[in-house]
Amino acid sequence: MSENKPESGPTVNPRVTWEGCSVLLDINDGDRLVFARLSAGSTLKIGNKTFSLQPLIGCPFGSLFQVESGKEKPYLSRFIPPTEENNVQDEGGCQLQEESRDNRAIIDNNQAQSLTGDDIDAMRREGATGNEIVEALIANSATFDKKTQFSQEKYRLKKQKKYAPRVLLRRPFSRSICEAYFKKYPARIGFLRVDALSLLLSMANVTANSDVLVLDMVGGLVTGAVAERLGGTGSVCNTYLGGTPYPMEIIRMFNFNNEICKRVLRCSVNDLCAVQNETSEQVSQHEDVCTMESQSDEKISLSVSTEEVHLSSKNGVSDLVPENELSTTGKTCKTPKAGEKAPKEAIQSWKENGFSSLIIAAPEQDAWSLVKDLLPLLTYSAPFAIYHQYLQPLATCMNNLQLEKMAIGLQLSEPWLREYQVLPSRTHPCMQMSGSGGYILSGTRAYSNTSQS
Amino acid sequence: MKISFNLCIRDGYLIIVYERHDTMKAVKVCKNSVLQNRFSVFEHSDWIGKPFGSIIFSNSGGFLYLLALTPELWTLVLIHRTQILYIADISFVIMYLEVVPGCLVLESGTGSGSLTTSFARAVEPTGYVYTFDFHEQRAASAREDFEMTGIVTMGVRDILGELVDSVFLDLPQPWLAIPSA
Repeated sequence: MSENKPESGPTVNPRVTWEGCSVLLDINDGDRLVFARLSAGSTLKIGNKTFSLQPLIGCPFGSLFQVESGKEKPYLSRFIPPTEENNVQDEGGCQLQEESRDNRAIIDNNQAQSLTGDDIDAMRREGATGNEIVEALIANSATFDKKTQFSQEKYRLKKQKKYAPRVLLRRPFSRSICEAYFKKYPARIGFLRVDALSLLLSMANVTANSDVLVLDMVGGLVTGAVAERLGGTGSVCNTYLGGTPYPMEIIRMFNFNNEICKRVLRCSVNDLCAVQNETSEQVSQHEDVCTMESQSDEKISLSVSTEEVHLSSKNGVSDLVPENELSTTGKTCKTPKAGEKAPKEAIQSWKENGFSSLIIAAPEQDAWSLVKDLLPLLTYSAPFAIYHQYLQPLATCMNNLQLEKMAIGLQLSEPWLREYQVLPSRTHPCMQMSGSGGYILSGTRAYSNTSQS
Repeated sequence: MKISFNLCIRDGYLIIVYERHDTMKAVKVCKNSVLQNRFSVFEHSDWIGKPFGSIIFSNSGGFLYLLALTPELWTLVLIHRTQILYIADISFVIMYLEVVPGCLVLESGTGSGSLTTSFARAVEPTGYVYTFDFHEQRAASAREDFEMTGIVTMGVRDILGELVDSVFLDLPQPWLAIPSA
């Protein structure tokens, strides 16, 4: 796993946490996923206890932490597993050994464990570690020896999760963020599964130095993933219908540095299309009007960072900047913000060169009406990829694109992902599998001399 | 090569000639060459100066589209010397290995270079992909392909002692390589 490797080369992907960075906490091996921002005061609640996240600052991503009983109260301590930790490593012995036990004699009447809750609390007060409590529970269980080996392991793991929970410090990256959201709040990301997201990025040929047009109605996840792949080069234009930009709060999870944030720009569809038909004088007037309107319409989630004030040469805009600077989160750490209004020069450049690819992730909109307006903004032979939760709108869209001869190489795909549990003699697909990761329509824009250029 | 409205096909470019969604090939544009297919003969000189994405008609009613090269299209047109990875798996690998510009990726074996091309595009402009193959002939063919598609290749380097971001193994017995990975 690349997470456990020490720092290497350029700090594009820092491997050690810092004060103010956002992290993904994986509690008990995937049972619970929590996003958090590390600071001196931030805390995490496990069970009915709260732990400070202070010990996590400055540790490499991929570190494991275990709950330990401290003098005053329990705390999280860094846990470095020995190289051959679990009892699973004698695999050779496992397979050769015949299992003769079974559960015919085990009666589930809640009387097998002789330690009571009070006993355990007493042990805790005396400073017993989580592991010691688990061992004590096993020692005091009347039925433990009657269980099969697999069953014993399951028992041990279950007790360990309760009495000595472990927290894995994960780096937020498109993959981990997408997986976490898909598990917890799939509706917020339009049921976009991680393999569908990766297909979107590849099929749209998102690479460095490209200008990608994104219509993102999945909370900013796709915009963030594209910005990650651009790595501080090129640009992402997050576009929106109407006057109000769509929320992009997921981008803050990515830990982007300034360079990458600067590349994420926003512009309404009207602005992008309107400039096409007007002369440069009218353009600047129109731009002023649009900028003023959309700035006043903008919700507080979009804020303009202090360094970028020089971009706005219009007087009206600089008055609005101080208002927007007050961020709702109220944190003292300065995280660079992405998603500023695209400056005129950028829009001009996009007009001249065309965007190099298009990604649409708008699960509740009609795909064809969006594509109709956005496809002409792409340069010829540019790939595009459209995600939708359901098949029908994409099928209609594909049909229309073919009739109008706007695109070639059209392909409708449904990604499929199955997870396996891999253990000796117990490798099999997991009990539950996601059945709906959405659908993707991809293709390449064709040149037609009837289209405006 | 960044595509844009202002970029047209020129002599010497490697482009994709698209007949149908399942019939495509990579062609190097050469002023004096022709392309023959079941429709008719197409002269390369007709293509020079046209924008990418153009449609070219032949006298007998057949047509071609001329497209810019992308790693996805390259995967569909490259010559198979070994079984290759297709876009579905390639996209998954790049996502799970968290490959972004600036990363250092080790790949073994190269095979026909399908995944390698996608890795190279994912790590540019500041990252590197080190790819290895024990078959001399295939390694040479892969090197030729990379030169054709515009991936900058370097000579052999000693990478012992350097730290890498990701390792990808596509070998007959990958478990033997795990300790050194």
